[in-house]
Formats: sequence, structure tokens, C-alpha cells
Amino acid sequence: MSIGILLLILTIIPALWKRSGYFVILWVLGSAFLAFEYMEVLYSRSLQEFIITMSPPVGIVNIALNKLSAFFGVIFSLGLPLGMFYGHYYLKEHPTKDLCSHLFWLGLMGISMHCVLWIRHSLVFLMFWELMSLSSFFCVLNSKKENIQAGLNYLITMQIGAAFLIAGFVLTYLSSGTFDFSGFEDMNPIPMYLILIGFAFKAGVFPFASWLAQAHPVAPSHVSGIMSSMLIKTGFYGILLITSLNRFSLREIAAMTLIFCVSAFWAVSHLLFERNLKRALAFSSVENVGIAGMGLCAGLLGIHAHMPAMALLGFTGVFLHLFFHSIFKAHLFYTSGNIFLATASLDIDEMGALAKRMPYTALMALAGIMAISALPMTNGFISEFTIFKAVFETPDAALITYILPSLLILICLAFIGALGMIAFLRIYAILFLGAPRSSLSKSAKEQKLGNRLPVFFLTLAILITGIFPNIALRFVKPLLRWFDLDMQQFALLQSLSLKITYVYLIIILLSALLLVIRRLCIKEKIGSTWACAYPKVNPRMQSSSLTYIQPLAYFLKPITYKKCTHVKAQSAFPTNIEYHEEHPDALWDFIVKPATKVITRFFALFNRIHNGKTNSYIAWGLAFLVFALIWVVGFK
Amino acid sequence: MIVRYSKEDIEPQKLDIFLSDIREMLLCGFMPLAFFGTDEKLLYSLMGKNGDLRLLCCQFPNPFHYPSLSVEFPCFNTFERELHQQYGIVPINHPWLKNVRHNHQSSQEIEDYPFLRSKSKLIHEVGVGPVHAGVIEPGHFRFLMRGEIIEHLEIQLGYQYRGMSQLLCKGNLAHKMSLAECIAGDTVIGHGTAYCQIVESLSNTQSQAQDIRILLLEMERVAMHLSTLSSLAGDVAYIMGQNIFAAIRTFVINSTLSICGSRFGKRALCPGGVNYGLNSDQITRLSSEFEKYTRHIQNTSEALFSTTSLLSRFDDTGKLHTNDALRFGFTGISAKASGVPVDARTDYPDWQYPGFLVQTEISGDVYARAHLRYLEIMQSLQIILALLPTIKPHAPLLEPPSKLEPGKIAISIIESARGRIVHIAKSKDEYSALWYKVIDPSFVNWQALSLSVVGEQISDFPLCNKSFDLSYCGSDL
Amino acid sequence: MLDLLKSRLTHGYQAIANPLKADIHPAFPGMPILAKSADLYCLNDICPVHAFSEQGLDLGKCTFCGLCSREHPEMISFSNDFKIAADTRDKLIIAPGELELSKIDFRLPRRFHHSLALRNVSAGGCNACEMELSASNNVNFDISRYGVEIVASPRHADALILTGPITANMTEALTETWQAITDPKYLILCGTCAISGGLFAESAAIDRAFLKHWEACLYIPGCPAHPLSIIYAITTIMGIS
Repeated sequence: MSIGILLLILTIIPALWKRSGYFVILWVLGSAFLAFEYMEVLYSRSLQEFIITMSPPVGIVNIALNKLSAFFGVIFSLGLPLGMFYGHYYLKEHPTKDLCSHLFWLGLMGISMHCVLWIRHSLVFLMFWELMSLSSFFCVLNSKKENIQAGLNYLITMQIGAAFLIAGFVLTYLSSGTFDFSGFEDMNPIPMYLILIGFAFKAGVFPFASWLAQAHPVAPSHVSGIMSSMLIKTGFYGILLITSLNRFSLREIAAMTLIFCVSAFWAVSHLLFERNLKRALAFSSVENVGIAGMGLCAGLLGIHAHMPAMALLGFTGVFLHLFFHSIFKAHLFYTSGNIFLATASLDIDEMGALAKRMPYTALMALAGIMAISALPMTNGFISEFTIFKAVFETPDAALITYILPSLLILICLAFIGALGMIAFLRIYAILFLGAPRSSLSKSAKEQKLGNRLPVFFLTLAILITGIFPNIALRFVKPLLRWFDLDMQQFALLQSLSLKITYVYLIIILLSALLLVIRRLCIKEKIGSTWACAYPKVNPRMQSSSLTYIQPLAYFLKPITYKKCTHVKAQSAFPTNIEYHEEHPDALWDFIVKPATKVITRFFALFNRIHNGKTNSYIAWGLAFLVFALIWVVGFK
Repeated sequence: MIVRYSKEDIEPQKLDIFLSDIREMLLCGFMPLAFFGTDEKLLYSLMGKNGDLRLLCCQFPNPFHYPSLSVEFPCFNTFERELHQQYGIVPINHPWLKNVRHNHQSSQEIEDYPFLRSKSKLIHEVGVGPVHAGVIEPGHFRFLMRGEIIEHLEIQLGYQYRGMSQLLCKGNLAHKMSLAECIAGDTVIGHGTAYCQIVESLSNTQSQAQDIRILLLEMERVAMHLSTLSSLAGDVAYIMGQNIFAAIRTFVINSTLSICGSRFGKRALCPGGVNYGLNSDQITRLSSEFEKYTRHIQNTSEALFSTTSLLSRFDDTGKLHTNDALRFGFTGISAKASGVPVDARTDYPDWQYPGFLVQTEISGDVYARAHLRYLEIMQSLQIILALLPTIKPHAPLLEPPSKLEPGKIAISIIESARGRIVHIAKSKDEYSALWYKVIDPSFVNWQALSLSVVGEQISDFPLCNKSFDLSYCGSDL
Repeated sequence: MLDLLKSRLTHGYQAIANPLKADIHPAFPGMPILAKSADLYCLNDICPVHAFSEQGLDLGKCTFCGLCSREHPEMISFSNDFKIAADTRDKLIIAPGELELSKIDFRLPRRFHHSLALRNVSAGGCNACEMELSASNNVNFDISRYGVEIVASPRHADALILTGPITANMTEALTETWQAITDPKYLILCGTCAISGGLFAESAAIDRAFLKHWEACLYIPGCPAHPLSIIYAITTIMGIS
């Protein structure tokens, strides 16, 4: 571990000299060492432990890895170097204003993500947590004005989350007397809720998830990918940490179920209408965190109701989904980065026919889209399937109090899965199929090998973990054992996965056979698409992003908030017809913005104090001194 | 109705007087039945109101433009577009000056055709045709869509253009019966009768078989309406209605075949009379057959119009407002279903239909057009049953017309199943026509389809299209 | 519901038992019979499309208007034989004294004997042939009992059935539709206008160059072609007797 961390810290040197190549190489090496350490911790019984003693009030700082940290650590150590690698090639084509500071903060973000996993001391944990937020803020920042606004929104939201965490940690210290994480065992409800809310901010759970949709579109693609696939997981790591050290009551589990379900639903209802590619992926991250949360709640229900199968499957679902989501979300963000480099736009209504111009990207994106839609042969299917299976394990004789939450999970998962698939089908079809909708997509070209390589590795990962789920299950096994779950059920799950693998292999073989036969036997002739024999088909004669979703939008009207401008045909001979619609975040428009206005107006009342004149500041300072004197002398 | 003018009756006026006369008449309630230019460099306008026909004429404007009448009176818009396309005369400030019969040969013209476009990225276009999914005539429909909702429809025709007007003027006008029957093959008797009346008027002969012509015309009306009802029922998957109406239509057109040998009434008419008469056996047989058809149609229509699944598709779909029907001068079912009682059988009668009243519906939607067709079928069947006993059994009448009187203008107006047919022709010499103008009701009525589908789902478009049942070849000529 | 039942019961059974052996009303102008002594020049003068020549009457040009048979019933008469169709253009010419057309020798390959998908292109017709073509699919004639269906997409079609004289404005659309049909494909001409241009043959707005490149395998004359003729012609090339 020390070698790994040392190498990662050394990456600051090439960063400062703008040598992003060496930066990446050092990151890969360092992460390799770290990955090795994490795997050792995961599979063996050894526990890496360091104790650093510092002066009070910090006290004894425990630096240790448990299986949970190791699990996330492996994900980070595999994903971060890939992100850095992609970032190297991305920044070549689309350079940021100040490369050395960007690389510096990027490296710092990665280091702090790793450190957060080891620290077992609340205050030091908070320090690295804040460092993570701050460095990610600087990574997100771009030079444009609107992007600074979005970045600041992100930073402020993270600070509010951190405030909840601070409150929670302080209350825990007051009640347990120690800063160590062992004080989190069997906490009182109030500090626990505060800490969970604090972590929920980071993880992206409704109603604290609006920052995701604002930060991701403006950040450079490698940063978005790292953030969505790994930064968010630190929040979930925190939630899982609390879960591993506490028992939840049924009411709490039901509340968590409701929150996660609503969160996923909220995210999907925005995802369906989104026209900005990265914003859509950001909402999808919130949706997937919601799905992981649903799995977690299923697992907790299982533990509470003494249903070992449900418990095991639920927790397996969570861990698998977190792992797989890292893979396919990074894949999709890097793909969107490549598309952005090729077309200079993120508006899906300006794309079209990219499959002909970027064939490799289109093929790999298909794997990513299938994974995020939880279609078979991909890993997304396996994790959602496991969560479904967990819910199906609710026995018939169970109490209504157990059935209701699991029913909620079932309904929401089914509905959200379908809507998610519709949403991503729409995105894939508009991006890659049809005819180019604008000159931007007409002139798109396939990106360089360096840009495509990370996407290729992630595609392989999607397919391998999708077709051979046992590989991922073996990765998750030690963690489940650490959670004291029923390993017999796990063995059943493994045998089921084996059967699934066999089915897939048969399908693949048959398809390959059919393809070969078709190649040999059938003569293909390529003609133009049949368009009712109209000779001059123009690119406007194909579906827009609204066409795919408008019929469904009719049913979702009660829960959608949209702003539209509609210029109808004024007479029998219209000259202009226009329609534009937008789906802003209702939470942001109706709660955050008015609240901000109120707060700003409240603070504006103090403008008279902050009037910039040194004389009045001295006067205020003097007044405070006098008051303090009177207080101390008079009343003490 | 047949009207005849000699050259002296129609004096070309000055352009401004011509236009102001038209405006005055429009404000008094007259509607334009025709408005066209001819190779004589003359502009004609046929205005009519309740049997009162006025034909106005003026020289081509020099320079080649004049203030468009369509700005105030949209009923002129299609006529002015045709005038512009044929003679290059520009109606200034015309709101939609595009070719009425587009030339689909020139690829530059196809690419340049100024379809209405939208700047919004969320509005996409849907182009249907020329080759449609079913067995129907070719035409191109360009939709501007907001999702699945139609914002605008633009219809581009001209694929069927066969040069009918030129063919009618080439050679002996009296020998163009077959050609006139082919103007629109489902309106053989309608256009055929109008043509016969033109030739008879120009040659000053009297037709001897008006009663048989009316009988055939009403039989054609019944057959056409049955065909439309059948396809409407088929469109909403009411297969029973589709098949029964199609079968009854077969009966009706087989009755037509028993008279003249053709299911569509071809061969039946000729200038001067008819080629085939009816003997008393035929009359008796036809009477009993039509009584049977009346019962069948009544039974099926009652079943059709009480089926809620069908009514839910028809009701409120493809609404054409009464105001639009009036302003744009639509005729036939398209107008009558929106409450405008325009019917050439009462407006420009040439036959006394005993107790005939124009039937209308108010709602102007697909249901109104379908139900009105049913009512007209019943009315026509009553007319046929009342007419049959009065037909004197006689042999075919053939009084071939003698030579034409040169320099005369004849106008003939017939109410076909689709609406008002107007034929106007001027004789050049003793044999041929100088110009022959055919105005099928579809020429103006295509606009009604564009107006009615705005705001509807695109999946309801075939239903709206069939409910109007317009002729592509009648409009293209 | 009861209305529906009543309507169905009173309507009865409408399908023609065997369209190939059906009877048509004697007034129907089917196969023309030229008398051996017929004066072809005289008849040609009367004919609006000048369908007569030294060889006889060209059924591909004849519009069945009956003018010739009404003026000179001794020279020509029309029987009500609806079985008029040919597989080559020459076979449509009827010599004086001929009582029926030469047999159709052409047969489609075996795989089409029980299933034929037709794509109709209406290229400037008056709509009568189109209506007769769709009537051949209705409950009376029911051509689909022989496995023939009219499909919406040329990609699903085996043969293109052309109606109308081919206006200049439709040439490109017709060619595109023809190209869109996959091999093996066949061309069927339905109606006098499709076979020879009919009454519009001399119009400047007609462009029949398409037929110079592609040969039809079946010609169905008629103005319009009667559904029974269409069924007879198509079932013959499908090998159904």
C-alpha cells in the first residue's frame, strides 16, 4: 500500500510539469500496486492496519482496510487509471485552460478517494472528504461562465452535505466519546440520520441529487466519468458503512425503500425527456444509485425478517450493481466524450447517422446501452436480475409489513427498468441511426485509438462479467461472508449463474453459426431505404427526440414539469411553426431557487454592515470589543 | 345545369372592373365556381349563387400581375395558383403561391419545392407517398409533426397529370366520350354527363334520355358512398361493415353493369342521349333489387353507427369548421358535413327531384361525413325507386350531335358523389373546342383535408383522408 | 350487437364459389369476336384509339367502348367471356374469326404457385383499374383464397402490378418501386392504359420509357379490367387451372 500511495503522490510531479503521459503511467503503476493490496485484503484474512497518534482533540487515528473498503478500493484502482488514460487523450483534443492545475487536482481527487476508504477516524475522514469535494470541484471547472455557476452549485451542495456529516459526527462523538468509526456501532437515530443524509448528498439520492445533473454536463468527459462511476460510490460506501455497523428498524428500512424508489423514479422521469447527452447520463446515475439502494433495502428486509435468501440476494445485488454501474457508466461517459470530440455538441437533436461515421464507437456504445438497460448478455442484466430475485424470495407467509416494501421495490424496479430502456433506446437511435440531423454530425469522424481503447476495455468488461457472471460473483463473495450472510444461498446463485452462462454460450454459438451460413448462402444487395418512392428525402424526415417520447409523455404528464413555447399554425397558410420544450429540475426551480433568493435577501439586510468602508469595520470591531468586555466583566 | 353564352354575351372587361365586380358579387354571397385563364389571353371567372350564374371575362393583365383575391377571399387560392402555374400571372400577396400540379420530372424542382419548414429541432417532417401503402392513386403528403401530433399538412399533387385538357381540345369534340369518362374513373357518369351536356349545348341539340342519366348518376352516387363507407369501416377494423358494404356495392355496380356492360357506367352515355335503354323487365328487376339494397344498407348502417368502438374513432376526429368550409368554397360532402348546404341538385338544377332537400350535418368530423354519406345513400335510393317506374321502356337513343356552333361558350354543372363538377368549354369551329376547362370538386376540396388534420394524431390521418374521399386524378387531370 | 347479427344474417353468403367458372351478365363486353368479313379499315375509323390494324383488333389498345359493335354489329360483337389475358403483347391481337385468345404459356416458378405478393403502382390511371384491383380482394371475388395478396411494401412483393398509362411525373417513382422489389420479380400490366397507354398514348404528359427496359410477363386488358379477368390471369400464371 505504501508503495502504491507513494507512486500516486509522485504523480504530482509530472502534473506540475504538464507531462500527462508520465502522469498516466505513474497512476497505472500506483493503482496496480494498490489493487494488489486490496485484493489481498479482500481474499485473505490479513488486515492492514496503521495507527497514527496525533495530538488531541484528534487523538488516535486508525488507518485500516476492511473488506468493504477493499471492495471499493479494487473498483477505484481499476477505474481511476482508465479514467486518467482516457483523460490524457481527451485533453489532447479538447485542452483545458490550465493543464497543470487540472492534472494536479485530478491526481489529488484520486488520492483522496483512496484515502477516504482507509481512514477510520471521523475528523481525518472529513478532511479527506472535503479534499475530495474540493479537488473534484476544481476538476469540474471550465472557463465558461455558466460552467463556473454549475461548478459552484456543486461545491455548495457538497458543503451542505458535509455540514450534515459534521453534525452527525459531532453528535456521535458526544454520545460515544470517540472519533473512531467504532463509535458508529448502534448509534442513536438522530446522528445516524444526519450522517446518512450527508452521505446521500454525495451518492445522489433524491432530494439531494440535483447537483449531478448540473455538474456532469459541464465537466470534461473523463472527469464526468470518474465522478459518476467512482466519486458517487464513496457516498454509497458511507451508507454501507453505517449499514454494516447498525441494525435498522422496519420503519427505517421502509423509509429508505421509499426514498430510493422515489429517487430512481424522479431520475427516470427526467432522463426520458433529456436532450443533453451528459445530463441524461447524470440522471441515469441517480437512477442506478436508486436501484442499488433498492437492492440494499431488499437485503436489509431479508435480514430483519430472517429470510436468508432475500438478504443474500439483496446484498449481492447492491454490490454487483455498484461494481457494474462503475463499468458501464464510465463506458458511456467516455463514449459521450468521444461523440463530443467528433461533433462538438452534446445535443442529441443535432446528431444522427453516427453509426456510419463512427462504427467502432457505435458498436461499443451498443454494449453500453444494453448494459444500462439491463438487457441479457450484459452485466446490467445480472445485477438487476439479482435484485428482482431477492424480492421474489419474499415468502407467502410473510407479514404484510414485509410484503409492502418488497412489493414497492418490485413495482418500481420493473417500471423504472422499462422506462430506462425506452430512454436509452431513444438516445441510441437518435445518435447513431437515421440520417445526420445537422452539419455537426455530418462531419463527425471516428476518434483516435487512444480515445477508443478505454471504451474497448470497458466493453470487454461488460461482456465478460455479463456472460460469465461467476467471475463477478467470486469477487463479491468475501464481502458477503463478511456481512454474515447465508453462503448456501450464494452457492445456489452461483450454480444459477453457471446455467445462465451456458445458455448465453449456446445462443452465441448458434448466432455465430447462423451468421456464417448467411454469409455463405445469401447474396446481399444493398439498396436505398424505401421512402414511398419520394426521390429527395431530407434529414428532417426522421424522428426527433420528441417523437420517441411524446406518446409516453402523455401518460407521464401528471409528474412532469415542463416549459414549452409553441407557435401554432395561425391560419390556413402558416408562415412559421415552432415548438420548443424544456424539462427543468422542478426541485431546483421551486425549492432551491426561491430558498436561495430568500436567504440572499436575508443576508442582503446585512449589506449595511458590509459596506466596504474600513471606518465602519473598525467601528463594528470596537463595538464588539466593548460588548464582549461588558459580558465578561459584567456577568462572569 | 347547362348554360350557353355566345361570344357577344361575354365581353372582356378591364381588369379593375373585373376584380371589383367579382368582389361585389362575393360580398353578395356569390361563390366562384371557376377562375381560369385560356390561351386566348383571357381570364374567366364563373360566379354562381342559387341558380344565378354569371360569367365574367377580362384580358390578361399587363404587366403580368394583379392584386390577389385570395387575401380577402380564400376560395380563390387554388384557382390563382393554377393560373400562375399555367400562364405565369402573379397574384400579388397570394399567401401560398406554389405549383398546384407539381412537375415531378425535374430533380431540381423537386429539391427546390418550398415546403413549409420549421426551424425547431423538435418538429420533424413525415413524407408519405407518392407510392402509398394501399391500392390508391399517387400523391405526396408532407406533415410537420410535433411528436405524434400533426402541426401542419402540405399536399403536393401532380403525379397523375395526363394532359386531359389538351387531349379534349385535340380533334373532334363530339368523339371524346371515352376520354371524358376517364377524367376520374369512379365518377364516370358525373363527368360523362357534364361532357355530354357541353357537347349538346354547343351543338344545340336536346338530350332525350335525361331520366336514364339521372338514374345512372344516382346509382353511381350510391356506389361511391358505399365504397367510402366500406373503406372507413375497414380503417377502424370494423371488418363486418367493410365487407358488407363492399358486397352491397358490388350489387349496385353489377346493376349498372346489367344496363350498360360496365360496372362503372362506362359506355352508357353519349352526347345526345344514352347508348343503352331500359326495358320493362329490367325496370322491374332493378326496382326489386334496390328495395333489397335499401333494407341491407339500413341494417348494416344501424349496426355501424351504434358501435361505440367505431364511434370513438370517428367522433371529433378531423374536424372541419363551418367557417372554413364557407370561406374556402368547399363543395360536396366535405362542405355539407360541416353544415354548408351546397348541392348542385338544388343550386343549379336541371332535373326536378321531387321533394328533394339538401341534407347536412353540423359537426364536420369524420362521423359527420360518414353519417351524411349514409343519409345521402338512403336519399339516392329513394330517388331511384321513385324514378324507375317513370322511365318509359325504350330502346337506346342515339341522336348524334351535328356540328358545333363556333364561338359559343357552354357551362355544365353536375353534382357528383364528391361534389360539384363544372365543365366549361368554348367551341373553336364546327368540330373542336378552343379550350375545355374541367373542375372536379377535389381540385378545391384537397384544402379541406389540410385544414381538418391539424392537431390530430398522425395515426388518424388515413381515416380523415378516406372520410373526404378525394380524387387525385380529378384534381391533376 | 343484435344489429350486427341481424345485418350479418340477412346479408347471407356473398363469395363467388369459383371465380374461374363464374357467370357474368351478358351485357359485359369481354372477348370481342371479329367476323371474318369485317372491314377493318372502316372499324378503325370509328375506333377512338384506332385499335384495328391489318392483323385484327389489338386488345391492348381497345377500351371496350363498344362504339364499333353498336355501329356495325355484323362485323364485331363482344361476348361476355372475361378470360382475356395474355403473356406476350402479340397474343393480344385478335384476328378475324378467332373465338378466344391464344393460351397463356408463361408460368411462375413453383414457389409462387401458392403464394404471390403483389405491389400495385398507380401510374396515372383514372382510378377505375385500381378500384377493380382492390375489388378482386373483396368478399365476393376474394383473390386471396389463391394465396395472392397485395402488400404495402415493395420489399415484401414478388411482382409489380402496374395500372395507368405511366405519366411523366410518375416515371421516377415507378422505377424506384421496381428497384426496391427484390429478385426474382415480375411485371404485370393491368388495364388498357398500362398495356398501351390507352386513350392517353399520344399525350405529352405520358412517358412509357420504363416498359422499354422491362418486359411484362402478363397483360390483362380491360377498361377497367374486370376482377374476374384479373383473377383468371393471375391464377393462370400461378398454375391454378
